[in-house]
Amino acid sequence: MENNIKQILEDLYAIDKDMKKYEKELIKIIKALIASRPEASYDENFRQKLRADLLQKFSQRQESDNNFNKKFNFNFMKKINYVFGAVLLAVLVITPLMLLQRQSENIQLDFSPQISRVGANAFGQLGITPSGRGAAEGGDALMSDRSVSSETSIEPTLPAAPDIKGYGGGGGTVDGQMMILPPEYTYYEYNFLGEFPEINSQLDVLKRTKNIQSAGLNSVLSKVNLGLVDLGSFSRSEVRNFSLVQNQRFGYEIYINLYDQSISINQNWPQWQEAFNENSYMGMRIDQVPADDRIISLANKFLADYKIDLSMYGSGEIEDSWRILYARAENKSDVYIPPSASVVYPLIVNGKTVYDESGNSYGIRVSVDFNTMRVTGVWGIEANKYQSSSYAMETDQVILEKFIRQGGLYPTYYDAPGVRKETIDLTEMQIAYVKIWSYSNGENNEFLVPAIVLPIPEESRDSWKRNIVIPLSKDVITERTSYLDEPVRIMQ
Amino acid sequence: MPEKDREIELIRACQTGQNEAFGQIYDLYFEKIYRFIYYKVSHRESAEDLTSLTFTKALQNLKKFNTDQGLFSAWLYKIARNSIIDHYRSNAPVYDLEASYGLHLEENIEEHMDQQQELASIKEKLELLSPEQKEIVVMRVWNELSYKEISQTIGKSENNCKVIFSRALKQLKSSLVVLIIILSLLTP
Repeated sequence: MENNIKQILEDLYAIDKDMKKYEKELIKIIKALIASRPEASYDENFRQKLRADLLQKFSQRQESDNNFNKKFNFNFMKKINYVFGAVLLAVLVITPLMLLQRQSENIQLDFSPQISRVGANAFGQLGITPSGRGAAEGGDALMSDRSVSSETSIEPTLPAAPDIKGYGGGGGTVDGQMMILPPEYTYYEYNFLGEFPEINSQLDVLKRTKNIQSAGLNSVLSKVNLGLVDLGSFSRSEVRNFSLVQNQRFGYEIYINLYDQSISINQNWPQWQEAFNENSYMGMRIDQVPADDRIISLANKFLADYKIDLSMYGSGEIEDSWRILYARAENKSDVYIPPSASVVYPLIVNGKTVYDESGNSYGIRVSVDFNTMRVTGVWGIEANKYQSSSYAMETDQVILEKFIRQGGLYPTYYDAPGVRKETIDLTEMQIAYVKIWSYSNGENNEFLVPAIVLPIPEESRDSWKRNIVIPLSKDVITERTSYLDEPVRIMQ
Repeated sequence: MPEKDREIELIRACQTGQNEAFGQIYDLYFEKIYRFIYYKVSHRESAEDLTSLTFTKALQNLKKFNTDQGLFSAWLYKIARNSIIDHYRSNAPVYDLEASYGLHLEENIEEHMDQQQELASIKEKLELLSPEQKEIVVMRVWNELSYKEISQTIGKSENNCKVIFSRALKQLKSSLVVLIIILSLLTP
């Protein structure tokens, strides 16, 4: 402050030497002025969010300088643009004044893929907080996908997974400290026989960026007066989501989340219910299950018909873990065969497949119903916009081998009487990404974290777990294992 | 490397599409721009909106900025200033004294009431200045901008800005007695 006052005075004297006679008074005036400066504290969350938004816009500008003329740009879902356009047009019709005003303006909703690089450790401490844990491992975030999977319905009949606590196994734990083992519990220990790939001590972690892409829509809707309420009177409001409903037989409901930049497609149920009755949900006979090729072909056709962009996704693969149970079952009729199947198109980023923490592929999920032989829903369509930042990785093979042995980051339980132990040899390992969620500052953040992925041979799978996935980020490992340092005790 | 040279290097990196450089520019200027705006609008939400608008405009026009033709800081302040002018043209000014002085409800309200009145009195003196004088005083004293930055921001010569500031202080000096009383109240 003193330097500033001194400089101000010097500048004043340079203009008017006589002012030096009043130096004491001038110092008091300047001090009083400085003291009267209002405190202008800012919200750090705002600062960070604006930074992320600007960096995203910056990257978008690099890619889309020549692409301003598009009216709409749902890159991965062009066909739905027309439906969306129709709804928007309807809004414009009820606001003729706005129609005139906006005729010359573009509304661009850019969901196109993008990865922009930011400085090292730019996302702060990685990892997952307890409040976000449920969402990431069996809670809302994954269940939104899981709930549509026919596999979910057979889980109660399955043996508990070895790492049941880690993956939200629900009723397995009694009070968070103890668990009741199901009958004939098998503890699996994994033995890696292959060679570790080279793991760099620093690798890029990707954070999925989310921001409102609805500036044009906000402007339109803010001037709509529905008669019941004046939308424009809600200051700083923004369009976060909307849905479209196809009112026709076997029509769909399309839900567009602009904040999350994701789209999901569900049955518009009233238009489907005539095709279903109580028998529709009964288990099927094995001879009624369509061939995998046919199921995948149906899913492929649906995605192609609606121009859902698969450029960042691998080929569709069926999740049919019931087949493992079926193959092992002595009495085949005891095994519930679901009347639908999920086809998963795994997300591939930077040439690496993305997995969830359970070891399943993460990506676009299409549900095919066997009764109608139609697609009943698509989930996981989302804008692949990321920021990329370098983070420290765990390279110590001794530590990683410990996690491999127990099938993941979480300790397992094998010292109870009656527990059968099996050792499964693994020979392959690749570096891929694991999708994790982290809850902080009131937001669920999504990260793609480098991970080692070890496929479990089909003949050795414990029904549903296809791969062992171990995040390599030291932050994630430390955070995840810090409160899981002791195995859950077995309730006798 | 001198700070200004480093800044020019960052701007050129931005202009060639390096978003990390833009992030660094943002980190350098966020607080300065936010304060610059806040001192003019005295309203948190408006300051956030205008800060956002300022950086968005800067991002859109960054390629047009010529590092040989002026200070980047002044260019950014000018964008902020124009955004504020547009804001006042299209919105009724919002004045949130409580927010302006960073008061919090859980703090001692009576104590702050006194301080608020004292500070308001100084602001009254500032209000006696012409808008031009006031703007330059605020930019020089509160924002700590150099005369070069002020002159490029408001489009007047450096010397003219110095003269305006000098006259403003002379004018305030005439209210010195009042100010001394206020200052003695402010000093713990």
